[in-house]
Amino acid sequence: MIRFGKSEKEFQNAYHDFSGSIHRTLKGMVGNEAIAEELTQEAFIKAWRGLPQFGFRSSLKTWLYQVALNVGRDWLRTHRTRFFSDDFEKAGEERFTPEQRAVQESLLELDEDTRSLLILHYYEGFKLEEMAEVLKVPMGTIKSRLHSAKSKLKERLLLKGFDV
Amino acid sequence: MKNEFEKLDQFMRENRPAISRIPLNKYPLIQQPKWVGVAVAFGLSAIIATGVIRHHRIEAESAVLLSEILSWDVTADDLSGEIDTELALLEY
Repeated sequence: MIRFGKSEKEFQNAYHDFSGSIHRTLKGMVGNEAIAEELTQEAFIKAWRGLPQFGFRSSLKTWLYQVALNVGRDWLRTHRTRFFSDDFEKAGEERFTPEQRAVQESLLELDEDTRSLLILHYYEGFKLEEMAEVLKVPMGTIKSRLHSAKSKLKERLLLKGFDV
Repeated sequence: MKNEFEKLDQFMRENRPAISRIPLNKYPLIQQPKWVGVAVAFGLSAIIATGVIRHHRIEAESAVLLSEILSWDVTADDLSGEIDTELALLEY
């Protein structure tokens, strides 16, 4: 029988609690279900290996998101490919409303940093303080970035004909 | 002060499409080898990492554990997997 210490148990609980939302965040970044699954796995394995260095000096949740966002960014930098996932295209035909499809397309048209911020804000319900901690920037900076991100998203949706 | 993104926030609340993972109960596990692979990989990584961490702990705990085991009055049938594990760790 393998017995986990406190930190290992916390990590297990964190995996259970956050793997779904981290997967969603990564899928929003890369736009592809299969790749998001792989990146989620990669993020948690990296986080597990980095657990001794992390040492629970800050929130496990925000640290996991930091690792996941870095994994997502690294993948995007390596592949430098913008694409619309098969999921989105098929889903657009089958079950997304025009408004939903516009949101998906607009998010994918934005750069990954902007997209990540909007996903954390709109999809994962991160507070400003949490986003500041995940992205390791001051509160003033995160407010400014979020404002800029929303402006870009609004512009994309307006171009698509939606009154936002 | 009016929120300049009030309409946008409302639009996103109403029209945000779900970015959801495939629910595990949608497909039988046997048809999801990838999920099994993920679980196994994660489990193996966890086991390996746990072993490394425990190796350092076991050196400090071994003296206490040995005296505890020697005080047990057990037969071979009583030995549980946990005791086997502890003995294996002592040897390690």
